[in-house]
Amino acid sequence: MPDKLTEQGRPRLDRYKRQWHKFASNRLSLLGLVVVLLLIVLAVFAGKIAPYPEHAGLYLDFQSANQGPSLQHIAGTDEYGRDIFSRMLFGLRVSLEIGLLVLAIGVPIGVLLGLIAGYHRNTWIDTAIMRFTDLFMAVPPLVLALVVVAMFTPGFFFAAIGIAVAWWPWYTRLTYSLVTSLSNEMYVKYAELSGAKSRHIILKEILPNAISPIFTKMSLDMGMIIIIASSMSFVGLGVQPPAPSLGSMVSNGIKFLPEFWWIPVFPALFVVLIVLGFNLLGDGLRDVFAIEEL
Amino acid sequence: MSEAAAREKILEVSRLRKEFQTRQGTLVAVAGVDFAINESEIYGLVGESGSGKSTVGSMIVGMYGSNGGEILFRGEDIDRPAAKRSKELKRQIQLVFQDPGGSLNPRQTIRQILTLPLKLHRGLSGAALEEAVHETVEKVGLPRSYLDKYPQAIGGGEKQLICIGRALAPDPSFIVLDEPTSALDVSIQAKISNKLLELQEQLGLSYLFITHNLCLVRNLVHRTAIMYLGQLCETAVTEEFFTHPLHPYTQMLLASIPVMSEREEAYKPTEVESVGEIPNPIHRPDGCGFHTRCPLCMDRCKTEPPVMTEVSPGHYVSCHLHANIAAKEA
Amino acid sequence: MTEQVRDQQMLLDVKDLSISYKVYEGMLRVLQHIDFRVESGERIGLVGEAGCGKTTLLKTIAHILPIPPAVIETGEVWFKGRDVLDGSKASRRSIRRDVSMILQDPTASLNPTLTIRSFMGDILKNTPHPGSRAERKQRMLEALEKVSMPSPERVLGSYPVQLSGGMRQRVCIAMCLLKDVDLILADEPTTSLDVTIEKQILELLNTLSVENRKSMVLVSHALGAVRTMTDRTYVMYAGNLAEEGTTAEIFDHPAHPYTEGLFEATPKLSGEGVSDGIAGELPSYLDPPPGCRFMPRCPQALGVCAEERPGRFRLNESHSVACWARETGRVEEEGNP
Repeated sequence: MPDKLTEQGRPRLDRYKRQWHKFASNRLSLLGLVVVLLLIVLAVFAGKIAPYPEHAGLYLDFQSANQGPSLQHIAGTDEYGRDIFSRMLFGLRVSLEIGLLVLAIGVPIGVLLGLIAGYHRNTWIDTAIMRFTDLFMAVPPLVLALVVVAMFTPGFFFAAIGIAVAWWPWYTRLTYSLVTSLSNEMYVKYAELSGAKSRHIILKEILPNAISPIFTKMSLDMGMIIIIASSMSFVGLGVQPPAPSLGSMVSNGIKFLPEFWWIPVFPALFVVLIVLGFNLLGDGLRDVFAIEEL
Repeated sequence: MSEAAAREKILEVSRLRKEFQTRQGTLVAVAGVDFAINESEIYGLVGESGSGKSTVGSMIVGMYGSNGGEILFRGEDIDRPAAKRSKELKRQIQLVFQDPGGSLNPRQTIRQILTLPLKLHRGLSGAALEEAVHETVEKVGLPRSYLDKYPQAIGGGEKQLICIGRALAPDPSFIVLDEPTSALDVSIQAKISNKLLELQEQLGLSYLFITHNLCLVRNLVHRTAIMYLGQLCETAVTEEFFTHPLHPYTQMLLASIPVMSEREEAYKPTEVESVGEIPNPIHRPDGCGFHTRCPLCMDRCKTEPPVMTEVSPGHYVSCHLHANIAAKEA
Repeated sequence: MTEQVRDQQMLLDVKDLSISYKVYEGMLRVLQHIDFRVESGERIGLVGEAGCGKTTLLKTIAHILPIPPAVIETGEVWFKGRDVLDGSKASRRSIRRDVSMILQDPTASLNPTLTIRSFMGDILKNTPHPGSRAERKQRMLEALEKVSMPSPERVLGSYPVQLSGGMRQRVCIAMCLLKDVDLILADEPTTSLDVTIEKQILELLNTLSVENRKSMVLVSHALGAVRTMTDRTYVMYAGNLAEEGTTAEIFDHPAHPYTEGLFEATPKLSGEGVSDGIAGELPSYLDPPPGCRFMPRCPQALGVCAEERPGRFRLNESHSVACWARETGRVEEEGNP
């Protein structure tokens, strides 16, 4: 097959169109995308969509406590009479916010360190950075996050910091290996031979080719981060009550099994849905970026 | 021949050595090589895998330094990695690689790819830069509309033309071409070869043309050299090289080429059979690297490496047998 | 040229094969109305450049063409009297048993985590008479010796990565021998090898196919190899058959302008200079021109070439060409041999 197909118009747009087509041809990836978009909409507009937004905070109505799923309360109510569905939506918002904050902190740090270490591989810079990274990776992420939180005060912000501290090393490793393999590409060697500055080589030659796997990882990570955040609130070191958090909703609700099963089950299922959505999306992205052009 | 002697040398390589350390031992990629290229000359360096020809090219271009010997560019010692070379030197010596697909950054447009050398080597910017970019793409015979395309959108031959344009952009005097057409189809190879010849004549460039394709070299280069296992076996003006090949390896190689016409068959030495495999360069045979496969191997060949001898004006062979013959005739 | 008496038994008969690939932008029409046949004991050369469809043709014959995204628009492939494309298990088995493909890159064909003994053992175990372990080993050693493999015992216990390119290719050829196939499809078997090794491997293939009366299809852009090793040659361009005939005819009297251009563009050992190549480029396969696909590049194009696909014209009993400029009287309809 000739390796040039007719291209009209802007080449970058054509590339995006082709990638979209490839992505969309996989039903599961589309499902993931739809789910994630839906979740984002729900989170952003939680205030408008939730039937009982005031239940997200402190609210007591023992008359309506522990009622099963019904038309007024799709997911039932908890022991304080709060609408579980509304709380789930706000809990979703919290989860997504934590995920984004963790990535916003962890990814730039991790990628930057990985770029520097990878570009200066086999020098002391490489060794220093990568051994430092190894140190952090030696501790399980949840434990590390909990330690950080315990050093400060439990709550949304430090939970995010804690997870970010546990998370950045994986990006360093990924970026490092990407940079190392990309450095062998002829066009990078050419830039080096021509005397291009390191900054140009790292940012213009290497990074654009490394972005795709990093994005894929970010999407796949969202699910995991949300689970960790939920686990932290499960043990009480994450988001603190009365702020809604899916993890604490599950942990608090466990004692109501099996009679008032809806109290832990719906939030738990919701976590599953969120994680599944991001995972499918991430898998789809990975497949699209795996094989570049023709 | 005296004309060749009177021309200025643009590149002189003496006793060049390169070793690589591997887990299995020391790999001697280049084991002492001597040759010279004249100004405005196309010099062909031929060899099979393990011959070291690409390593020689890499050292000239500055990918790494040598482990011995010297490389002189217009009299100046350039034997060190590009990072340690002067800007002017980097501008003068350029490189075209084998795989056009891998030599162009898939995330950059042709315009961006051509801008880099122009900025770095000629310090251009603004309107002058834009004009130079247009000039470059036109010089290799491609339309301006290609500038905004990504490499994946253009064919292999055209990608290679862009690589050539990129090498020409800094206005160099010497280009190392490492298998520039090997990944392309025959009909496109011809177009690229033509373009290279045209540019060389127009601009008075010197080329080091590295390839394994003897037929290509036969028609494209002024002088030819052949390497085997890190050593230079024979070099001569192309016509002489192909009509009077002396080194047993040259003869074996020529005898092995599948040719498509009876007329060409006449040019193949007939008495030489192809035997054996190329030894692992980590375990180089002693003496002459070729002695394990040479039908004319003498005892001396097994222990003593041969020396480059001029057996007729401009025709050098590195072989004990021919050194003897030349000595007798002297 | 071979002196063998050729039986008239048609081993492989491809009739009017047209194949397209479904891609994002539409359908790539990769093969158009290909007629291709191999008789028992014949050695066929297939010449063409990248994109001409030769690999697609071979893959179809070997039954390894990925059917979506490929679509077989028309045509039949008959192998030993059986329609290969009928989708039945029996025809698949027939192909697997009697056809073997040697690929360009021997490294890609050999699983790096298995020893040579494992590959060869697997093949033997699936033959009608596997025999005992000792018998199998004996047969393996014999096959390796037939391909002039140095130290066959050592090679059996090695992994592919421990062998050189030439040796790996010899292993692939030995595997063909073990299987005792009727047809060997060799797709650029020597392209990744050095010239001196290439010669040895080509000679080996030649000897084996002649000695063991195996039919062979040799795809190679090394025209010299095709010239010395085949009885008949097909030339393909952009998914179409440009011409076919006995190898001597094709090489001494190329008729199609593409073949002429290709031969002229090939650098010659006799030192005739660099040709201009063939101007232009491959046509779009998505939206192919209605007429001859070579027309935009053809120095001898006529008006009719842009409008109608040329049929096959017989120049003499051993040579036919698909070109309006060579029209000597249409003898056959498209699709009938």
